[in-house]
Amino acid sequence: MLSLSLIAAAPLFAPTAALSAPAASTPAVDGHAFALKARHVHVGDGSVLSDAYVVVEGATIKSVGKSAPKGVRVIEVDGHVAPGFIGMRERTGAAGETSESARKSTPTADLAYAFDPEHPGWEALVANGVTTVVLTAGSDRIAGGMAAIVSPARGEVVKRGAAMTIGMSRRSISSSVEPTSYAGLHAHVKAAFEADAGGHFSRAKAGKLPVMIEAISRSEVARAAAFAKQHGLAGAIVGAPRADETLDAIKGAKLGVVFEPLSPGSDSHVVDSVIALDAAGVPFAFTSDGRPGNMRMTAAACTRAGLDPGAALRALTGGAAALAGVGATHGTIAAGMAADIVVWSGSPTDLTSRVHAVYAGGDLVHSHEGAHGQGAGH
Amino acid sequence: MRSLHSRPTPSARAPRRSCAIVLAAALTGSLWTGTAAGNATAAAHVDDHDAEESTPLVISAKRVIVRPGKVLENAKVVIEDGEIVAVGTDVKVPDGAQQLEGAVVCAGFHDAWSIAGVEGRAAAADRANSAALAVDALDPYGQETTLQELVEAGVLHARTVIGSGSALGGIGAVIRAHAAEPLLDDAAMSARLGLVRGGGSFVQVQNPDGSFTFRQEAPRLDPVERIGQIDKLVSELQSGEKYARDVAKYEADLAEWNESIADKEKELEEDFKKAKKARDKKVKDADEKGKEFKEKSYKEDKRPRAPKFDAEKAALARVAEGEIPLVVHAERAVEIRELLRLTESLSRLRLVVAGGTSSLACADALAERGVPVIVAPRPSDAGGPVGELDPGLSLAAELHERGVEVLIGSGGRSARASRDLPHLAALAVGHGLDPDAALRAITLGPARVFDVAGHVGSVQRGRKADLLVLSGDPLSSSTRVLAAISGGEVVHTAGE
Amino acid sequence: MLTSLILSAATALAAQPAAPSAATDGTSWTLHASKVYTSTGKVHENALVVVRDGKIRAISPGVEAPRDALRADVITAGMVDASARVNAGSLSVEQSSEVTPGVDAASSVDLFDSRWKRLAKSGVTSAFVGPLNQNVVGGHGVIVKTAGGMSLEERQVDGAKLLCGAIGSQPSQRNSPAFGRPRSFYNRRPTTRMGVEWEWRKALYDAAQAKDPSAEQSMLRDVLAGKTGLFVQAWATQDIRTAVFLREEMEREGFGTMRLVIDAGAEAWREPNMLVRSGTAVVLPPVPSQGRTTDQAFMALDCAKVLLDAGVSVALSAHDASDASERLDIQAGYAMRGGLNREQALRAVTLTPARILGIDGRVGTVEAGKDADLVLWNGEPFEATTRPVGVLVGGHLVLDPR
Repeated sequence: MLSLSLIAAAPLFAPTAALSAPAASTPAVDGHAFALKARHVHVGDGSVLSDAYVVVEGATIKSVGKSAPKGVRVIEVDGHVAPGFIGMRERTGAAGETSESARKSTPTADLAYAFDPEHPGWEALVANGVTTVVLTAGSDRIAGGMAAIVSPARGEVVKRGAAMTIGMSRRSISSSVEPTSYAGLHAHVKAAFEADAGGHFSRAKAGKLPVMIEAISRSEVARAAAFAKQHGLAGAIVGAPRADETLDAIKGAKLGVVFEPLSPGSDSHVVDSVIALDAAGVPFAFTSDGRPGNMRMTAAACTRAGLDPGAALRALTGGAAALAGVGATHGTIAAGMAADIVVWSGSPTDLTSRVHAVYAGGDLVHSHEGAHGQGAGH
Repeated sequence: MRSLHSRPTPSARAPRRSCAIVLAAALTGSLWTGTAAGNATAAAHVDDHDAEESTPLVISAKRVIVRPGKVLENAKVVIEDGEIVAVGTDVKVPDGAQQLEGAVVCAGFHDAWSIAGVEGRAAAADRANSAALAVDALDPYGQETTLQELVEAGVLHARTVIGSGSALGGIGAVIRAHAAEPLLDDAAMSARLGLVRGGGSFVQVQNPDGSFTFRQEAPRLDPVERIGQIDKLVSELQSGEKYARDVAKYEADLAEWNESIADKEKELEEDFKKAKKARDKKVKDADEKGKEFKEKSYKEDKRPRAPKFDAEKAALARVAEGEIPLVVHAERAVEIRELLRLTESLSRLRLVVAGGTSSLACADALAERGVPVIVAPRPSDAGGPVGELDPGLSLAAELHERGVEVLIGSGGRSARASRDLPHLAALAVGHGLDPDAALRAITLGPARVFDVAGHVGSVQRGRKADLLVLSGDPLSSSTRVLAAISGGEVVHTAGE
Repeated sequence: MLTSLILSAATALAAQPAAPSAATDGTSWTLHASKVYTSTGKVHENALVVVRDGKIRAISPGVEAPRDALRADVITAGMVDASARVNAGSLSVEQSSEVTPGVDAASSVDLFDSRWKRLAKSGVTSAFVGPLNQNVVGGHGVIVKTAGGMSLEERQVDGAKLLCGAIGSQPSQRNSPAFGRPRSFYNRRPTTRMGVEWEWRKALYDAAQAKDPSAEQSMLRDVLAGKTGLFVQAWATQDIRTAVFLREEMEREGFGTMRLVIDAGAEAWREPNMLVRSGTAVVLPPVPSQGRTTDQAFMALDCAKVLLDAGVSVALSAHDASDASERLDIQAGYAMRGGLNREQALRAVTLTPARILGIDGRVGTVEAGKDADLVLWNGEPFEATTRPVGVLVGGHLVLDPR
């Protein structure tokens, strides 16, 4: 089911390179190109195209429009086409690799080294339509290192050093290792910034590197937002189930929020927060945390509580990509974007829909038996 | 003959019958059927209650789902005094009626496996016994906010259980989520199989979320071994059945004895003078012979004796006799198969399997015996490597396909988990379950299995309104609950 | 002359029908009470208190209540708790070292903590919060209003700088000596009372004698010089003595004269002269229900009376008032049962703690120009039958008397 043929070696920035291909007005296509034709094409920015062709050539989307070039194999899909989901915090296969027990801070750690493309856990993520994840340091870290964006289905690292992860929640406070207090934690963060290992902090301060600050309680979130504002950091707060009550601070710091997914029966503050953030125009996304089903259920809980399904899908795709700093290459269905496409039986944010097929970088990496259109020529 | 509540009884519960009487009823074969008596009480209550709030309510919807599979297009539902008085496309709208509009009207969702409404420790109790009643642990005030969340999500009913940590967990109730009002006190007995591992003085008990809790085991508690557990459960049921037989025999003997006494007395009455004469003669004869006259005694001392009352056995007897269903939480195929085999002799037993991760392996037997399965989907359940033994979220769909009646429950993970029941049913649809079957699994299905279908589970004339007004398809993730009506009362409207 | 001017201004303000209701922007009100206890010794009868933009504008006695005024039997200043323990618990202590003057309680104070609401509604309007007492020198405390905005900038009150520490059993409780290989950073000193004292002296001597003092040592030097007050928790007599002796020793050594406040000084009543001699103020803990407090110190209802009679400045505290029977107004009631008169009891929960915290320029009395931190009572304050029925913090109505 899961093809891992293209293990990353060289093409780290392959999608970016593909971007420079000529804009697709009358695209010339090679023999490997194909087009998905669907009644509904969810772009990932909130909009939906009807009866559109998504032309894929190689690893990228060549064009999106009302027709496909002659000679291209057209696969008619019975359902909806949407960008692959993006899990904003994921550690599948990296258990034990994302923490370093001897040191609370490892600011220059490269999380790409914790990526295990062979791990069987990825299959469930891909089967749920997740094509891109942000591998981040463990929640107990303070300056945890540089998050890597990877495509689990292709076994590729999409972007190294994508974001800096900082822990400002009590998860980063231990009872047996320094720091044991918020004061110690803040001093530690400050010291890490001043030391500026690898120059990452300078880049973050210059707004050239997004940060992902983990903060859970309202007080932690307020402090994290103030800290980000003070240093001019861009990026997102991770956690913040009650973000609605610290909305002004988050908005004032121009941050987004990445929510942790709900489980059945867990507190539904996240739902209220999502709706408040959407109304206030604050970007938000979700972590996958190895539980893609919960990620989808969280989005569904929000739409059942009144969130526009387009906004929910944006949070799972284009919005998440923008927060992760890969909005130019991932998360939307448009010419020049990576061909990470999922075919759904219905609306992608609806739990009654199921995944029919998953394309990652133009390759079919997952399909549900007997459900996917058989790619009849045209 | 099971106690049924038709309106809130905040201060006191309706009294339950003593078990002996209930038993007698069970033995005469008159299983509760509900409708006539229930409706009569409902109507009586309505009469005394609503002088002031008699504004009729008319709900217009593009689709009224009377029950899964039966849909009326562009129909209206008329509710007067809390009761549905008309459902149809061409109904007379009463004057001055309050209007509600929505895309879809359907019955309130019903969680087949929940702990909503009961006090937390009772829900997890590991020493409950078969006579314990969930209604005794209802905690409407402590759980007010949680119950309100359920109502807002459209989950209006739940079979709520106690004693999830016990091998035999007592008798669960069907409640209305609004104010935890009991609808049926004795909906089903719950039991648990094979979820204990380990041994010695410590055992690990599996929690509903799949994790294990370490617990010190008292000697009188559940046998740790799996087979021991099944044996224990079955022998408990058999002892219940025997108790029922003993009671039945007692009742029959008593009747016979009463009859014979009555015969004697009749004889005596009719022929008193003759009898007296005969006795006088005998006394005289004895006197003459210098012997002492021995009175021929009545057989008063041979009155049949009632079996010793045992509340637990009485409850088990009701289960063994099929008056109350038995819900057995079992995940593995071996246990389910063994359970089916060992309970074959209990012909009246109404068995329900809960959990049933590997139940697909005995789907045919379940279908043949008519044993429903309560599936508790977990959103991120990817299933295991061996499809049939762990099909993950496809379980509901595949059981349904094999002819097993599927109910969907939140699994009692927490009281609030019931709130997410519509998501769980939607997930089952996303993994292949027919949408009508999924809706049935959270409406009419549990209502039928737990004997409250005469009251809830479908939108029908002549009942208290327990229904939802929705903005779209009941299971679609973009649907909102516009209004929830529970027990004839509007308990939630969107935007409040 | 000046007073009469203010008075007439007040009457004029109150008479303005322009204020349609009592509230304008939420921080302006007109209040009226049969009695206004000002904490300065003065009591105004039938007085109007005019609040504008979060400040007390004027007080005018002998005036009938306007129709739209917030009314109460008695108005007092908002209470000040000099040892409110609304901290982040163990997350407020940096356990990796025993002496952490660099810790600032401001970084752990959680303004979303529900206890703030409880405090505010009980009539406490300003509070001093330090780190939990598990370190010898825990760090600097922070003075905050109990209600208002949700950022520390809006809530913090500039006052005296106070460094919090503890003498007694708490700082040594979790530590253990390392036998063989140390297993955690708790394998360290101090493990005894003497060890705690030794840590104090070592830290102070090191700071005083350092050639090139570290940032933390400079903070301790400020303490030695009296620029920063030393707020030391010491329940039992022996620990209070240790604190005072430490101060005297430092003075003898020529390191400076420390400003000492004894926090939770349950047994301070045993040797009040020592405290008078060193000019040490005492913050009393809540009266224990069993007579004994932490560290087996004995405390009775008349402790405040004994100390006050001896000339010690005494503030009462309810700590985090986890129990309704420990609220600060009830502590003041206990002190009255122990012999204080109402005026003394009132000062012990308003002006005195405000002075200890150095915020008496802003709060602690009902005077024109001060912050509108006010408590409205339904009878004589601190009586068992009386409770706060209205509370204003910086003009924000936290508890509505209407």
